Amino acid sequence: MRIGSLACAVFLLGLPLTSHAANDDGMVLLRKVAHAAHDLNYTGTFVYQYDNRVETSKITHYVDRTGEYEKFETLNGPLREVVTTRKGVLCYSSVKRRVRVEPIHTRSFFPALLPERVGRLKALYTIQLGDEERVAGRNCQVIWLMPKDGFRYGHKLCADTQTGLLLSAAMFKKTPHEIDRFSFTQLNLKGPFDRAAVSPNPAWRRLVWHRDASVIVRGGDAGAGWEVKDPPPGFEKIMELRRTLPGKKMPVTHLVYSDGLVAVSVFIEPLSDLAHAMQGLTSEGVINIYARPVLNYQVTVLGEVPAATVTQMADSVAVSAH
Amino acid sequence: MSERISALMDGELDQEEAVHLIAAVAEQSDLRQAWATYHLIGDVLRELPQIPENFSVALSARLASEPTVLSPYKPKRRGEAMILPMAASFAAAALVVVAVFKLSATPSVSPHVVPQSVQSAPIAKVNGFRPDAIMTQYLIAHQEFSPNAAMEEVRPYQLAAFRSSQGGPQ
Repeated sequence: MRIGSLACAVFLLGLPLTSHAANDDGMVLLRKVAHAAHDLNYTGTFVYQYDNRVETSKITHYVDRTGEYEKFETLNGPLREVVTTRKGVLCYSSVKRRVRVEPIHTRSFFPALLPERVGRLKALYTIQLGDEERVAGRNCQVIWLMPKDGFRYGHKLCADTQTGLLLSAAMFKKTPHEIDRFSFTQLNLKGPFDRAAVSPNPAWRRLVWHRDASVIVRGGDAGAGWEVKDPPPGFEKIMELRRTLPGKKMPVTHLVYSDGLVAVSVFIEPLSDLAHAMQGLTSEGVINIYARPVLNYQVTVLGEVPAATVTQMADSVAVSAH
Repeated sequence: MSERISALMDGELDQEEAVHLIAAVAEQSDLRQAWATYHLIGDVLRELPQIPENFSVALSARLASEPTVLSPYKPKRRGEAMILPMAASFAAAALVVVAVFKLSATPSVSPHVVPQSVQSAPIAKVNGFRPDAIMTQYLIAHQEFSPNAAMEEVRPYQLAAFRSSQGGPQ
């Protein structure tokens, strides 16, 4: 069907067939895509589809001389809002009637899915330009990221031909079968834009505020000494946290690895803090989970990656010698 | 009233208004709560270093252990009479407010309400590994690094969808 529609588009519209374009053209466009999500003002509605589910959300991004501001809100189900400023991340839940403050500036939402260092993707994915498609009433250029090994899924991105902003992003195991997909259904790039649209709701002032007490372990800190000795190619540690979890006496060690596109979390906590040890592989939505005890600790690895990735990471978790 | 407290914090009220409002804040607990909350929000938004979790408890303990200094009463001239006691009681109120707020905020930290479906959903046993409530916590924590979800809660239907298959997502 994809080949059919591509041939049709080429025939009818006389568009250039660019599916064999070199990696380099793809990289140039990927850089543009990565910057567009941060440099442009936009507000739009997007759907996230996975597992026969559809979630609709609204994203508003605003940037001025003082920095970037972002507001994410769910449009179906219970209302949840996440306001990201340079000063912190505020998460509002209408169910809990509370605002959670995260000191960690890592939240990123569609369409800001690409890393700052786009270059590192080249070693891990074969990047090819595809055909043109139409999303949310706008023309976009397809970019394929085909994994070079079995440790990550493939991605099909579609970048707005005018601005480079990502209009859709899908993850797949084997084409054309998609695991999940983000897609704008409506997008406003023209404005008017206003800082107030990305400000925390003043009514939040009357709610209970809860501060996430998790602590980022900075490089050079002793930390717990845990590390993944043999992560699959391209997965680098991007953060280490001493995470405070509800109902836990001791903070849990949380290591985060990423290949630039997807994140894998490694959790380590004493077995004595658990009702029972966990061992084996399972999956949850698009996330694979592998758990195994190491010494007197429970190690759990999870992420939007194939089972081989979480397994290899969990199997090579060890305490580093100091 | 909250707008006026906000205005007071921003230094937008004139002196007379400010004095009246400060007196009201010192008297009414809901206004003290609003005052404390506004400051917390302000601190978060200004990226000030957070006060330690047990700050109020430690402060209360230290205040309790402070010796009370008795000194001869010295009458003040009329001009100063209003402002200083007002400022002092206000400062005291602010300390109390911090304590009240921190104490009331504490319960929301510890007992975590696990979505019903965690316990009730038929969860497949895989390789002798049964995902449970701790997995919910892990998933929530992971979501901070995953654009797929923005939430501080895992969706209930996600948990019900724990799969029995060993492979990745289909």
